[in-house]
Amino acid sequence: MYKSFKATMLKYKALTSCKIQETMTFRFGFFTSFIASLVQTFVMLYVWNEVFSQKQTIMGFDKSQMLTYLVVSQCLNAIYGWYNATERNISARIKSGDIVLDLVKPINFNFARFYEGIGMTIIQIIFSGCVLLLFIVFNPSVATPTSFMHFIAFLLSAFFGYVCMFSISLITGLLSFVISGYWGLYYLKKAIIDLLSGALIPIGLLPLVLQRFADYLPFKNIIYTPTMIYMGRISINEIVKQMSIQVIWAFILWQLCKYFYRIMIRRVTINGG
Amino acid sequence: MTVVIEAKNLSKSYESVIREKGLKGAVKSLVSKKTKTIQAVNDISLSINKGEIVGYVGPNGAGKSTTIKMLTGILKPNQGSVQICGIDPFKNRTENAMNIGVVFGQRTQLWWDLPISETYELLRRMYQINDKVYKQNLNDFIEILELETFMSRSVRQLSLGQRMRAEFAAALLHNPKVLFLDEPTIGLDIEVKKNIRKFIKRINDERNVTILLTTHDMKDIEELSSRIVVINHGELIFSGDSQQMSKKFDAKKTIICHLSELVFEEQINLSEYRKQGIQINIDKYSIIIKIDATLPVSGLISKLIEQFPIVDIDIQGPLIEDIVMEAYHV
Amino acid sequence: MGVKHYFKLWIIFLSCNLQSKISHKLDFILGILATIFMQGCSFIFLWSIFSQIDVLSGWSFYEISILFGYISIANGLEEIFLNGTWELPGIYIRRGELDRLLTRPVNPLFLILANCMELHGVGSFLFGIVIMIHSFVQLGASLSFVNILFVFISIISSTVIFFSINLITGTLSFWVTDSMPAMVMVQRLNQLGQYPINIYNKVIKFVLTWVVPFAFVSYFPVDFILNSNMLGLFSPIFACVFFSLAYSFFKLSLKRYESAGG
Repeated sequence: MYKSFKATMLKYKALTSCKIQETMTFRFGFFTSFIASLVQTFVMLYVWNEVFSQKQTIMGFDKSQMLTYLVVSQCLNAIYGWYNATERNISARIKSGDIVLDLVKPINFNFARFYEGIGMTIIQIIFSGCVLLLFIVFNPSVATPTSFMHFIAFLLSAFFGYVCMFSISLITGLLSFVISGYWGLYYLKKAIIDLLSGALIPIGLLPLVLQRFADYLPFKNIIYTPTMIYMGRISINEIVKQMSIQVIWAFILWQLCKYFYRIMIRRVTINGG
Repeated sequence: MTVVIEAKNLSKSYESVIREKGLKGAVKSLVSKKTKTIQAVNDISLSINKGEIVGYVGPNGAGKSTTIKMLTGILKPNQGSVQICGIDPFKNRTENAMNIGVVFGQRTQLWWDLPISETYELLRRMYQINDKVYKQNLNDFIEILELETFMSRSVRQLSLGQRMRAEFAAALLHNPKVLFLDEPTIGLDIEVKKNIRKFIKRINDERNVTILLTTHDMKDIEELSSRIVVINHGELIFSGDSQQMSKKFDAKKTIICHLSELVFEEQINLSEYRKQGIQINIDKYSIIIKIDATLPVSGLISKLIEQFPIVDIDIQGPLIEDIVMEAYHV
Repeated sequence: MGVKHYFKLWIIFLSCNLQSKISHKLDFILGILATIFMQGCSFIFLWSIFSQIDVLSGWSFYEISILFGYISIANGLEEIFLNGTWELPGIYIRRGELDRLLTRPVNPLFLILANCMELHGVGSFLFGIVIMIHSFVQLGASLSFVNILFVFISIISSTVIFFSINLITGTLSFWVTDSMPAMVMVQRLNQLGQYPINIYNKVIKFVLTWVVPFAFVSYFPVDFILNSNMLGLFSPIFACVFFSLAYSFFKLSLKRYESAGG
């Protein structure tokens, strides 16, 4: 049993390693791709700066808290990959028919994509982590996690958020057998998720109607929940409750992945790729 | 004899990036870039007359596509000059474009989601083709290439063979004087290949279009080219017709004599034949002879028939394939 | 190859593009929804902030909305008519389709642009128009004929500047393997143009004005209309100069491509 597990892990590790290499091949693209996600951060930094020059607190956030929220949420956002290659790859492979090559491999498709995704994410994590550290060191406004326990909870929560986000990407990738180009669906999804995940702005500041939406959808888990845990703005009970919700959503979404995967297979095998 | 394509002393070199293996190499390449100069084409001169069909062959990486790019005005040579119908393809791009047509075997110029007629309309406007000429050409091609059956379907629904036929029509709508074909029969089934070749021969006959054809399919060369040009390692190895090629590359005919009885090596004076340049192998019931393609074989065969109980004879002419392979190894 | 010829050719390209897009209805609709939502979500961010404050750097909600409108409109128009630059790194250079263009008797940049019209830009365009008109009305701004004329002209010049920026970043892929991420990154900077540039520090203001001139796309023209900032009056001229710079860079890079090889 251990042997087969080890073999599986090696298989996936190879995938991850290849993906890391591939990502680093286009050197210019690699650097700029990361820096691009900083742009949104900067815009909002300046806007909030301006806002707080007028008012002391907004909805219970003071300036340094809002900045912390901004930096942490944007770091998470960058890690989840705004330039999400997972969807693009799957979509492109479905279009070209290369997807059949993946289907005949002795690896679980969904898990394989997951490990590929981690490959890219590791690099993002390193860079985002560095950015966060830089902010913490150079900008006293940006706070460190409230406590070590909070930090651990934050990491766990971020992981579940990642699984949610990844599952959603996987699903939209698989859905591309319905539509010709992935562009529309991807940016539509991205816009909605940016808004409802807390990436743009703390959910509490959105118009009430949208807050209701956010409560019922899984997106809040992805960024808002982990960030609030980091900042210690949620009580222990709430943390447990929110994380449970995260786990449930992660599970649901992963099941949806499996479901859509089966549909995609049926489509591909009937239509011949 | 008007010279339509005149290339003199063409040379071209590239800078190619070197990268080390593995993860370490990938990281290294992020910070520093090492390059190596590769000489793709070295001092090639070509002279093609009006109405010729020239087959341009060479192994992969020999410099074929680089040469073609220089001839079509896509790539500027480091040294040398090109003239197509007396026009420099770089200085007078627009003028030259009106004279040439290109078919890339691996790529298409047809709009994917639309029927081919839309692409043709577009080309009509782009090349400012005279209405009468356009209609005439279109009708001709529809008839010869049998495009009627799929004209209303979108290009994405067509088979490779149908697409190729449409592709040819597209390239010829504006009556170019020169046609560049880059692997036009690649991936096509035998029947479609035959039809495409027939079509190429026909437009060459009827419209006197000069054709430069690069291909890996030796039958294309055999059936179409009046002249063959072989290139390898960026250099011109040979230019001439198939006869000259046979002579130069020591092409051999193969004669297989099938016998009714076993034959042994001692029965034939192998060394005597070898002195004449004739190679003989014995294989149980057959005598396999390899002889220079230009030499007559009747004398040899009558001698062998006297000596041995021969029941059947196969004679195989030199395959262009073999000759070209010889040429590649020069 | 006169202007008339190019125009007629462009009409046929338009027709082909339309036919092509209509054959993928679902895609088309999703695309339009995507652009509307993208602009919309940014706008909701603005709205959320203004639910807490009244004025940002001296600009009211509706005034900033006009900035939003300008960027959306320029973005939309660029996507519809001038989007070909986005295909430059991947399709034309990396895949080598540029070679085919060089065998045509037509200007290569024209072909790159005419071949690709992303009609979902209509979403951004309409969103921007609606926001802009609504905001002007809410401001009670009485616009003179000259001002309205200026709005039309500056929208066109804004689109040209927007496009020229993309042309420059796209042309970078002649020099570097894949400039697509750079294109996207610079394109994202247009978000900075959604707010009055005085909220930024001096360096960013400089960059936005003279290097990646998104300030000329939205801020200066609008500042001219609302506050008579004279620099805004010159945005059309700036657009012409900037475009010729971008186009020269493109031509230069194309020459290098022909010399160095794909």
